Amino acid sequence: MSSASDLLQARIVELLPKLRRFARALTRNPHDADDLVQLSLERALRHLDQWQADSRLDSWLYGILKNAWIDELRARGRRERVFDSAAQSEAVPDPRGDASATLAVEQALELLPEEQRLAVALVLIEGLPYKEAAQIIGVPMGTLTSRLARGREALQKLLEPGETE
Amino acid sequence: MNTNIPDEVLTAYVDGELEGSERERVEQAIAHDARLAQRVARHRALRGRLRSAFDATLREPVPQRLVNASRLDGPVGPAQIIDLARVRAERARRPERRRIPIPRRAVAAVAASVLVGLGAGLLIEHMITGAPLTEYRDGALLANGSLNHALNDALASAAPTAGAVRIGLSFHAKSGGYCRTFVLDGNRGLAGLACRERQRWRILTVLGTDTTGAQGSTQSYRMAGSAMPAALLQAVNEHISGEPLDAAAEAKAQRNGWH
Repeated sequence: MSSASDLLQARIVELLPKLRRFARALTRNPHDADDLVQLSLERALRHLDQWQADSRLDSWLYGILKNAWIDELRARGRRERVFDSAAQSEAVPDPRGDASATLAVEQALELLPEEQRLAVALVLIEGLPYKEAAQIIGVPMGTLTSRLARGREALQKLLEPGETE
Repeated sequence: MNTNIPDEVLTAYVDGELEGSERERVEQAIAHDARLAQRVARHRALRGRLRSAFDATLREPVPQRLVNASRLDGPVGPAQIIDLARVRAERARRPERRRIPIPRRAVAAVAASVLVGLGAGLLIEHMITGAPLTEYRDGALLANGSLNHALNDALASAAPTAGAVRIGLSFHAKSGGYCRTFVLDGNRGLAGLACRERQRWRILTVLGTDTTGAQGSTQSYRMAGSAMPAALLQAVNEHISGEPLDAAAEAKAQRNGWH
């Protein structure tokens, strides 16, 4: 095995925690999230020749994960269910600690339309620049920023209902 | 002091998107205006709240199965690694990103055309093998046949497909007229950008969307749904003025013949 592929593999492993976090934000379910990461890794390795060495490896992997998630949503035909299934998601046991703050954020995120959730997850949670996020989602910058603005507004209303302005 | 800073500028500031004088201007305004500072703090707080809700994931041990799935010498097998090395060596030799072979007959035509990207070869292949989708006139490549019909009539917001051409985004170009992105389905997908010019659709960019050379399942890498090849997106970003048309605006523009 060449040192170049060793290096690439090390970089992918290094990105795993962030890929898991992104998948968590999209799926809102730890088990689904890890399955999604695994599926994305398998796809990424099969199509490594599509990665351009001068582009960001994390963005490329986020993009594959996003595509895999959209495929998954379509395959399950579960778009509709996702939107009115707050109760269902509560039934999934969450292994993490400080439940209430996390749960509130997750539930708020769950109420967003998929396109806004994607923008919020990439920019506000993963901390990507607008340009990278727009490219990953496959929309112009202006579309990304307006989805982001609507997502932000909705989250603020949901999470701090008392405060106005 | 100017306190009239719109929210999108404040959030761009919080998101680290502002640079230089723009950034300084916002910082100064915040320093002199408590209400502004409060709005910024609110945006920061939301960011922080989202981060802390999900950052716990970063501290968890990564399951072994995911580490295993990252192994280049794992399930894919050693052939893939040799292949990777070859592909990278090829890429180092020539700067193009696509590996689509260009039919020899098309080379001269490509050289003469205004097309961008190796997808051009494929469009000409369509021209040679199927009904002509384009015509070359006065130094411009124009849409013809079913591509022209789709650009004139199809609505992205309506049923997804009426034939082999799908329409993606429609928008106002900075130069004035309308532009639309399209995808040609087929053995190899092609995506492009066409803009209205002198009562015709002029094709500005064409790209192959299937760059894997038809090995295995490439479905998810095609331009399905909203995803668009980066180079096409870049072309859209260069030409777009404002937001893409919504369904109503698209339908209206279509009724008015894209004038």
